[in-house]
This record gives sequence, structure tokens and C-alpha cells, in this order.
Amino acid sequence: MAIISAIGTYLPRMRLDRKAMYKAIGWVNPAAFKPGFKAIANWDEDSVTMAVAAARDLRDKAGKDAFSGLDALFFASATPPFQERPAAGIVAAALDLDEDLRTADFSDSPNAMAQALFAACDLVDARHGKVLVVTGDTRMGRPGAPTDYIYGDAGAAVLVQSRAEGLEVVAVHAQAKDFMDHWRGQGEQFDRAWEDRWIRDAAFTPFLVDGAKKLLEQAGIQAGGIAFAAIADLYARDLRRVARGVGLNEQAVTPPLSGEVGYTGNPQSLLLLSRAAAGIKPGDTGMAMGFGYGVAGMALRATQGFVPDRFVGVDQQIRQGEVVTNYTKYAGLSGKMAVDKGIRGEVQAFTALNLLFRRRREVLALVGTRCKKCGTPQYPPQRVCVNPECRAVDEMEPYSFAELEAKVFSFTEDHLAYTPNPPAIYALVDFDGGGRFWFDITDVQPGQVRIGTRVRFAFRVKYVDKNRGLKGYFYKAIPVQGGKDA
Amino acid sequence: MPEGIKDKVAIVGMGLTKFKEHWDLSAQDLLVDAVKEALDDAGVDIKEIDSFYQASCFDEIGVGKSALPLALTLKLPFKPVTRVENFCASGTEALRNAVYAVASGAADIAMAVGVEKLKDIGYGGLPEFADALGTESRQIYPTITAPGAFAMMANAYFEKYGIPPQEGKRLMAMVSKKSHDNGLLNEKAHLRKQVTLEQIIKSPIIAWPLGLFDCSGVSDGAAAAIVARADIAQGLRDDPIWIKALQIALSSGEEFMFQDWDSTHIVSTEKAAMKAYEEAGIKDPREELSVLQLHDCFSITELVTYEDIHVSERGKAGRDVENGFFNLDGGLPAQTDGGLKCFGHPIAASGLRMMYEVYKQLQGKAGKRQVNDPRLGLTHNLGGFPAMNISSISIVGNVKG
Repeated sequence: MAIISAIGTYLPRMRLDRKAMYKAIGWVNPAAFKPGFKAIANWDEDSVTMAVAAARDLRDKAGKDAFSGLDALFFASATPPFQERPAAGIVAAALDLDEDLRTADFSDSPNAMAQALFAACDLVDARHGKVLVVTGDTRMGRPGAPTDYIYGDAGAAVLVQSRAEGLEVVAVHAQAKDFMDHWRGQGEQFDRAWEDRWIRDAAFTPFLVDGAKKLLEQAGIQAGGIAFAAIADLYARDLRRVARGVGLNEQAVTPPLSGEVGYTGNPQSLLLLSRAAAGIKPGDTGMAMGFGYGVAGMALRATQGFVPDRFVGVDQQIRQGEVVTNYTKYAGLSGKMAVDKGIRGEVQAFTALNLLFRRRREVLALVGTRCKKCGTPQYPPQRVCVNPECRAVDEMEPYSFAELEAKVFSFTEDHLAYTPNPPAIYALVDFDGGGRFWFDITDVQPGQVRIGTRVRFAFRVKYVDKNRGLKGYFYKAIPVQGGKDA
Repeated sequence: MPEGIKDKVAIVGMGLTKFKEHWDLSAQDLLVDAVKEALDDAGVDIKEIDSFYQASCFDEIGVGKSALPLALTLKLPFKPVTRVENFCASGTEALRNAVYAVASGAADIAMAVGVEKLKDIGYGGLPEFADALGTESRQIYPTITAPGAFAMMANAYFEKYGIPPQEGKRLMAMVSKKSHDNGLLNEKAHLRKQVTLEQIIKSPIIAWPLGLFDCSGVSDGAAAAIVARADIAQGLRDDPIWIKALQIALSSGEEFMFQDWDSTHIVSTEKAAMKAYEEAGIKDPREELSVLQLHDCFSITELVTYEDIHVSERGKAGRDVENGFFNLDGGLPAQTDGGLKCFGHPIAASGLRMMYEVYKQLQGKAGKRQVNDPRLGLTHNLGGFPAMNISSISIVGNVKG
């Protein structure tokens, strides 16, 4: 039996206050307003970086060997960054996984995650394998549209394996319907949506009710006995109707996230499951339901050794958000509005793809070297040891820096450098255990970095080359929240 | 220690264009102007020059790659011409190569020329580095600029010596103020403006803590030097300026990859300076040197360089600046021509521009900026960033021996 053994979640730091959105763009369509906040990606985040962040969150919780022996990595998103370049491959490289790996992208739907997860379950059932499924979404509504308020950005990851403690997948059920509630054509930036009332009345409630009933029937579980139900909350107010229709105890329905982080598409059901996990006890049965072009759901049962530690986290991430009230800045960072780059910002050289491939561990996984003679870690990889007392030649072994913390010893806030989110803040940092390098710092406000600031490293977009349809990914430093300055 | 270069070669002629935004002049015009002045000054015909070294840095703009621009512009009759490039230290590299060519006996007379046409890019500051640091670095280096890289050093310097930011900004402003005062007296300088300390401190922040007036200007310009073997030099003029030392040191990666350096000074400057003093036979630079032209790309660079060249004690350059020690009437005048601060920084021309000022000072031809009875002058030409750089130190004197 396939068992979900851990969930990782990721919410971008910024939370846009919808009241501020309304103030800036409400004139377009006053009726579009929704209260609360939505999580918004920084300019250097996309579905891939958020999926990587969620996978790393999962690994933090499940242990550093969580990804050893993986059979497959699946990526799901309605907003993959490339039309041709598998996102799962980028994620695998960033996680420095063994390249002997099956990968696949599931796309085109805000419910693609369910399909990826079901495929993972099948693989685990068939081969007693271990599969990592990751997702991220950055769907965008046109400025002022209801979707502009509703859509949020997030990432999630889930590890599926056999013979583990966690949430056993008792049954899965999916229904495919070409119900075009939201869609986006080739080359389009923004989602379009049909009338809200139609989606709510003709699809959201009836599809979920029908799908959930069939799922429970298949699982042989009574609706009244369901202890937790993580149901995609595209219409949070309708969840009660859905619960009533299925026969669920209303208390079992996981409190919606759409008011706090928005509706994030593919990650949403997993974020909800993470929220639900704190209350799950061994033996509890529950379900997770996703919505979009039909419905898909899983019936779950907590194993006897279930502990929530490997699942919870989203609520803490919600508390760590930073409220943003500048709508035009959001519009600029997200690419909804084309802001001036200056001529300096337009200077861009071609990415040397052969270089990128031959140094992929260095760039995508932050792997450097350590000298076997003197033990000095060094980044980027060196052949001649940088330690002036050593200088050994060709005595290096690979050494990973991605998960280490480091300390800032020199920094600046640069208003001349081009960055989509000025000023450019960067620093020279010393890694714990040796090694130093300089990095851009992201998710930070001017004045927040000092000498002694402790940082961790996040996989982010380094540059976007629109002329050639390319993106460069690399690591950036982020101050450790609540970290003590040394 | 090898025998060294001391007194084997002398500068016999120099030329310098005005540095400014030469909207109406090309690099070729600047080359001709600088070389004409140098030839007139030396009293030699260009055909008498055996070997040429052309420094230019940003080949993406201006002259392009190779030494052909100098050969084609000056119509050099099938002479050996070499392009040298070492970031912002390129100008001094041209001089070093010309001097070595003469010292080796391969040439009797050689010329070093530096030129840079920066203002053909359409935006402020230096050209975007793009590929200038190599294709790999673009994948992994931060979005660094020159002011940002040096601002990092300022923050670390203030932290180490317990200098509050506002006090640090005041010290840096005094560095810039002194140079602006000198630049006012120099018709070839770009920025000739009386500025107050308050204006400097309150100028817009470019990269914290550096404001606009902590940064050197960006301009176009060219400079040239003609060097000759000792006996030839003495035949050409009564006041040749003798090369006492030419040293250059490059970062070895320790600064930005090994946890030792603290980002509060420039290691290679200290290394090059110590070797230069040894080559020139200088025991006490603070006492023996008469004039300094340092690479003040940013005020903080000048401040820490006083310490790196062992003129000021560690952490105490600010005190010397406050006491006016580096003013025109101080104990050791620095940036007497206005420095990069007032000239701006047409990259490959700057090293030779510094030497032009020291040359004139040592010949007693610096006009209103003339320092009293100078004997030895030093130029410091720095390329790159504090964490990885090329630092060159040149020492010249007006007395042989």
C-alpha cells in the first residue's frame, strides 16, 4: 500500500493585503474584491523554485536521507516555467539527486498534482518504490480581475513510499470533465475565467460532492466517520455545502487557507492536508480533494505510528509572512506590469548552456569541493587548494554547501546594479565549517542585513532572459528568521 | 629579491587629454591628442620609438580588441604594438611593459598609452560587466557593481574599527573634499566644483554607505608616456623622471574563498607596496615619499590604501585625513591633481593619468598644485574588487641614484 510519509510546504514571504489591492486596482471591478491576504512570489521565484523549497522543507522534517533510493520524481504545475524543458529535471538537479531517476511533469491543470500523486501511488504499489512528488504554482489573474485577488503562490512536496508511517492511501478517485472554469491559451500570461456563479453552482459543489461520495464508497468508509477533509477551497464559503452534500461532519473540514494565502492551485490540497495534520491521530480516516477540470481525491488512513511532525508546517509559514501593501510593486515583481529596467538592465549575454551542463552540480546544487589534504571547503569547485598553507593540487572531493548556514562578514545595498527588486543586496559570507563566497541576498528589506547576520540558501531565479526564452537558477542567501547575529 | 628596475629607465615625455564626457570625440581623437603632447614633451619623433603598449579595458565599447587601434590611428610604420589589459590597473600595466621592454634592451625608447571611451553606453556608472568576468561567473556571482563591491569594504571597515556609519561617512567625505579642492586647480580635471562636506555626506546613496560624492566620476580620456634607457633619457632632457619601482600583486583567491581576510583592506596593495619599497630602497614611506596619487575609485578605497601602503597606521587613516596630512599643504599631499574623484575614471587611462601628475610634480611643473620640493612620488592603480583584484604600485623620483 502506498503511504504518504511526509509533506513539505512552501509559502513565499510576501503577503499582499487585498485591501491595498482594492485601493490600487479596485476601480476596474469593485465587485471583484475578496478580503484577507494572498501569498505572492518574489520576482526570483517560480513554480520550480517553490517546488524545490517545499521539497527541502520536507527533507528538513523527514531527515537528510529522505530522498535516498528514490525511484521517481514527479512535478505538477499549471504554470511550469518552460514549455520544453522538464521542470522535474531542474528540481532533481537542485536537490542533487542521483541522475538514475524517472521524472515526469504533470501539467495544464490546477489539479495536475492529484494525477501526479496517483501515478506515484501506482508506482509504489507496483514496485514498492519511493516517489517524490513536488508542485508549485504562480497562476496570474489580469490586474483587477477576481483571479487577481484570489490566486496565491505556493509550493508543496509529498513523499510516497511503502512500509512507512504516515497517511496510507486507501483509495483514489478521479473524474475528468472538460469544464472550462479557468483557462489560458498558448503564450498567454493571464488566466481567463467564466462566470463565477456557473462555476460554483454547476461544478464546484456538485463535482466535489459526487467525487467524494464515490471515493468513500470505493474506500468503504462512512462519511460520518471521516476525521479530516482537506478540500480545495476555491470557494471557501461553499465548503459547508459540500460537507453537507457528502455527509461529512462539518468539523472535519479543514479550515480554508484562501483568506490567508489565496487559492494556490496545485499545492492547495497539500497545504490544507499539512494544516489538518496537527489534529490527525493514529487510525483516523480522512480525505483530500482537489478541484479543476473535474475532481480528484484520496481516502487516507493514519497509520498506527503516525506522528504529525513530518506533515505540519504551513501554519508556521503563514505566521512568518510579511505584509505588503504596494500593489504596483507586486505588479512589477510578478511581471503583470512591465516596469523600466534601464539600459543597464537590458544588457544581457547568452547563457552558455554547455557550461551550465558541465557545471550543473556547482550551479544548481551548490556543490563545491573540499580539500582532502587540509579539509578546507571551497566554492566554486577548485583544483588547486585555496588554503595558502596547503595549495594541494587535485586533492579535492565534492562538498555540498546548499544546506549549510553561513554568516555575513561584508555586505552592501546597491542602487546602481540592475535587479527587478532594487536595491541589490549582496554579501560575502563565511559558511559554517569553512568556505566562503559572495551571494545575492533575497527576501530582505534594506536595513535588515548587517555584519554577523546569519543566512541560509534558497534555490532561486538568478536572471530571466526573455529574448532567448531562458532563465538562470542559482542560490541566494536569506537571513535566518529569528537567527541570532554573531 | 631580483635586482629590480631602479634607475634603469626614465620617463622622458608625457601627454594627457582633458578627462570629461567627450560627447564629440572618439577614442581615436583622444589617442592622437595624448600622444601628440607626449611626443612634443619628449622632443622625439614617433619613428624613433621602438615599441608600443596600448592599454584599453572595456573592449566591447570604444576601440575594440587588439592593439590595432593604436597602430591604425597613429599610422605606426609596422611597429611592434601590444595591447595590455588588467582591469582598472591597465594603464600602469602599459607603463610597466614599456619600461621592461627598454630595460631588457629590446627597445631604446618605448611608449605606453592608455585610452578609454566609457560614455558611449547610454547609462551612468561603468559598463555593465555582463561577460567581463567570464561566462561562468555570471551564473554564480551576485549582481555586483564597482561601488557595491567597495561599499562592502566600507561597511566591514566601519564595523571593525567601531566607527558609527555617520562618522564613517564624514571621514569618507573629508577624503573626497580634499580631492575636490585639488581638482578645482586642475584644468584637465572633469569635475571641477567647489563642494561642501555636507553636500558630500548628503549626496544620494549609490551603494550603502557610499554616496554619489564617494564615487569617482565616469569619463573619457587618454594618457601617454614615453620611456627611454637611462643614457638616452639624459640626452633627451635635463629633468627625466626615474623609475624607482614597478610592482604588481594579484589576489590568489584567498580573499573570497578562504576564511581569513576580513574585507577591511586590500591585501594585494600591501603586498605590492612592500615589494615596491624594497625595490626603490624606501625604508619609511611616510617620511620619504613626497606625493601620492592613489586609486581613489571610491573614498573608502583611498582611506584604506593609506593604511595598506603603510603611510597611516591600521584603522587610523581617518585621523590623518582629518589632520589634513594629505592636503596640498600637508605632510604628504595626495591626489594633488584631483584624483579619480575629479578626473573620472576612463579605465585604462587612469594609471597613466596618475603618473602624469607625479611626473609634473617632480619636474616642478604642477602650477598652483605644486608641492614643495618633491623627491619621490608614488602611484597606486587598482583593478577589480576588494575581494579579488590587481594592485600596482609605481615609484618614481627626480634624482638618479
